[in-house]
Amino acid sequence: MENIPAFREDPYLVGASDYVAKLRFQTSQRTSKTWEELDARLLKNESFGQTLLDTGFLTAIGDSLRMKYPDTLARLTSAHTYVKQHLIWNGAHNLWADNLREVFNRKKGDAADLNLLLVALLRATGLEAYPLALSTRDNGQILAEYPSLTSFNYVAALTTLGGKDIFLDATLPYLPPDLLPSACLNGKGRVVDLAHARWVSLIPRQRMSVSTTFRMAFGPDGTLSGQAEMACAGYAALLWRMRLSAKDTSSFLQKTLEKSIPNFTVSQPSFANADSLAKPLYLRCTLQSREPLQQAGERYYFMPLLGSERSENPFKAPTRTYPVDFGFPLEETNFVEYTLPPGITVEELPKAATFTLPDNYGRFMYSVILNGNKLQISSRLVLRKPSFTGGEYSTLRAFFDKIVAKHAEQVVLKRE
Amino acid sequence: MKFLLLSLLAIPAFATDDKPQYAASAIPAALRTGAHAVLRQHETTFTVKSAGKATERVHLAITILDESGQDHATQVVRYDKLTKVTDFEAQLYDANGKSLKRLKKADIQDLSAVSSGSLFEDNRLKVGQFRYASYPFTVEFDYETSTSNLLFYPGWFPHHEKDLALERADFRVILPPTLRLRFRELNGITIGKTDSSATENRHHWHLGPLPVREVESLRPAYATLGPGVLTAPSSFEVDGHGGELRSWQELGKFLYDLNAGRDELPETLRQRVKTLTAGLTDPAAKVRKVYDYLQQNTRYISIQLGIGGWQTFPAATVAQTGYGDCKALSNYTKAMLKSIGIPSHLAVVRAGDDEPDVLTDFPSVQFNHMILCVPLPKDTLWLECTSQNSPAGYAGSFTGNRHALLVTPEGGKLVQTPRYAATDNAQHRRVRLMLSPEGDGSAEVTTRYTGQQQDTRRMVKHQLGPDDQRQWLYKHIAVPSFDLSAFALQDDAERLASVTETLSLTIRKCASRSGSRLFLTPNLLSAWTSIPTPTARTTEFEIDLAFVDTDTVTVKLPAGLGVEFQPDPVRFDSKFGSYEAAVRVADGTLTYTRRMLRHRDTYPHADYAAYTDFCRKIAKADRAQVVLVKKE
Repeated sequence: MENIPAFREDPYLVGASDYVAKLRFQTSQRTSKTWEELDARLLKNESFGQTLLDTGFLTAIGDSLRMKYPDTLARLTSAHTYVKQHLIWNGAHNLWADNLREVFNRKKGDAADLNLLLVALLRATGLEAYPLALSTRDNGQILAEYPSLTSFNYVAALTTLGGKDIFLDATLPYLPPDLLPSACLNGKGRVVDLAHARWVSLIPRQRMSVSTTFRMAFGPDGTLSGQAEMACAGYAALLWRMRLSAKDTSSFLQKTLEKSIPNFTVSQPSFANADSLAKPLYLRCTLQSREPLQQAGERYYFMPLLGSERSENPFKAPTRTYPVDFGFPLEETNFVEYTLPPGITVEELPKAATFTLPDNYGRFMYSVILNGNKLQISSRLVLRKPSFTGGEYSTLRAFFDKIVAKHAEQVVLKRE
Repeated sequence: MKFLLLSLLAIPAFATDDKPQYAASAIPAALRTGAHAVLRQHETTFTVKSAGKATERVHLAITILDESGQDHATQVVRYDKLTKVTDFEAQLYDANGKSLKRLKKADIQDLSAVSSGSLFEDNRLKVGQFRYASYPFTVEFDYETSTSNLLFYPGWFPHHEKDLALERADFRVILPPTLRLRFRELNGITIGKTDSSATENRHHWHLGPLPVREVESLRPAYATLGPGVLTAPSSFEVDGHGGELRSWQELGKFLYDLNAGRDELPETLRQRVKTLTAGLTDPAAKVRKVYDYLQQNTRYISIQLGIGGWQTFPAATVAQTGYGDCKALSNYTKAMLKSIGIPSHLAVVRAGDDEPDVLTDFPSVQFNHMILCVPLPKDTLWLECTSQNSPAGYAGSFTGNRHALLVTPEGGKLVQTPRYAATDNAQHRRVRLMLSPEGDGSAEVTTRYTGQQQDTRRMVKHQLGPDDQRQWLYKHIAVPSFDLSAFALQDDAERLASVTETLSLTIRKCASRSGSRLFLTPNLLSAWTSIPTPTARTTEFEIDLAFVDTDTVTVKLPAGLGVEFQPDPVRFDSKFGSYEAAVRVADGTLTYTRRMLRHRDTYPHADYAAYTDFCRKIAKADRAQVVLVKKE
């Protein structure tokens, strides 16, 4: 290679090493000709398939979970919860597990230890379950044309529910069923089994979903006061549950909210469903604006999303070579309701709008409704696919430009 | 055979003691609050055997309460040619204090600590580390180093890390009766005990129990260390050189003698310098010429080796190789100036944007860098000899606003480096904006940065290629969505350094439109957004950059639009600085002017609310909008 310019990292670029030209070597003896051969080798390996054979120590727990939870979803959830609660993850990724009985007794292990133990426990409860071998984002993509053990560096678990695949991972305590850690969201994974071997797509079905709701009263002096709520689901819930678990929760929440809503004083911060993984996580607080809205004569002007707007285009560079990878589909909903006092009327409002990306991969909807003395602004952004190619970049950048411009539009109110 | 048997029987002292200690349950509740780890025991004993030999023994036990405290399960010990690690042991305990594991010699990693950009160093690390995740657990480290570099005595700040509570810590210094310890107690530590006998001088400081320290923002650098002690020798030996260290004068004298006679140049270079400066009469012009020659012909590379940390390479070596570290390049420049009859002094300084000034009342080696000071009839020029693009006489954020120790034949003299006032650190910006009726804009921006405000841009100009400069600007221009159609960065060699930046911007939706109105924030590029969170504060705070920003924005208004609203002029003063902004409209052109000035100072904690209010008022004024509306 000659005269190659330096590789530059852009925002939302994942697995940078996948884009750098390279040669990989492998000893010919260890090469499998097909992925099926490789499945067989994995299953024969004492740090992988063989670990799943000697699991009599799980029979009693498996039986009791089977009796207690006849329903499949409840049973797989209980097995998942059992492993997450009884074992601690040591932070390491791995494809190879230790003897599972030892893992079970010492109550901690790496990703392979915990997830293969989970496969074993699911089987002990009478469910079908398989190891799901994959390559984490740091490890690069799996090249389908080169069957190789070194492609994989991680194993999760897979089971099925009503014919649908369910991914399971026991490393992070806040992972609900069917949510893989973000490091695992990399192309495809392989179900390792002699009879059921196949590739499954790891493109996440769950979104990074954040929904903010403000209900504000417009005071006679032009100040705003009311309640705010942020509901997080999918990957957003995972992220916030982890943040909340590591900190002195109440002061952390207070500081975080103050930072994200700078023009308001925050009081009574609270959260709900921190441990109910099947439900959205709610963060709530009471807000009081620090100063009145900008006023000119008898008019008030303001941006209605109160700091929850997208104020900058994340894609500043005019061009891009490599894909944009958000990791997961995105969903952002903002809803603000103003209760206007008597004597305040609406003079001018932003107009409703809908912008879309080609093939409906992204959609932005903005609406403004005036209903009596209630003024409701809602904005919803959905990106259905988690990554976009370099060729789609300029369209994506222009899409965000329009969102930023729409969010900057202002409301004009008039005092009679 | 006998040998083998003996070594098998030898049981390490650690392992015999299986009485549980360090049970996590014994930690008082008050120390757990907010802590991720608790320092159970910390004992440092520094034993000076003679002016040139000492050992330091450290014993510490830390209970790690959760994952965020995991870093404390690693202990790093530095060593080099003059300092050896003579013992390093580490042991792991479970929550009940039961011993789980002891690191073997082979488990202690031995790593090189050579930093990038360094040609040669002998710094190395020994690292003992436990990977364990069943919280809480306790790690215990015991190590000893022996040093023959007694220019430095240790500083002791066991409580400096955040999220760490401290149960008890002890610091002992033992010296022979002939040697006297010099020390400086800091940040409220209880005064230590001193015991002198015929055989030794003993000092002892104690800390604890101390709960987690709330580390408040904007603290003066020394305050962030927590309570502790700095120590220093009164006389010392290092690598065959010795000296007294009771005053700045004596420290400077030692450094002068160590470096004396190393400023001789080869004859060809003497001639070269003479020719270069021939015809110049102003000594300042001659210094500039020599400095320019230095910048064109040498480059900086770090070399750290034993006494080489303090003794320069001879000037003749630099003349031959073309490279050197800060000492070698300063000494080389000194030699060139000497050859044309201009005297100068080496000066040691504690360099770095975030480094505190030296404690002027505690003479000791508090320095990490060398520069050159050239006293001239009218003024003094300071030369940063490791830079290839800094103007002669400019010290900037790296070495300005602090003290330096001049190394003169009479000894050391503590003097001030150049101080930069608010008006020196300026950002003067002019924006001409054309606005379309839809609110799209195109702007021509010219900004002249001077003093400390130009440091970053000078680096961008000299260290990045055009593509990376463009990327950098895209990242640092605070406009929601724009394209940069052209840009230029130009610098000069004036003593108060400056960089002029010109930008051509196309700004989409520069003014936001709602129906018949356009909303324009005339402060397009200079809005102040950093508002510290107003919290009850218990410690003083430091604002370490003084600056002034001025802005003039002229906007040609689109035809058919009139001004419905313009913000009133704003003007206020406070002890932190001053601010004024105004909008005027005349002949279809809107002109916005702004001036913000901030002082550099340290303020009592009670002023913090007023400071956040000052920032908030500025941020609010900077957000003020002009409302344009279609003329009827």
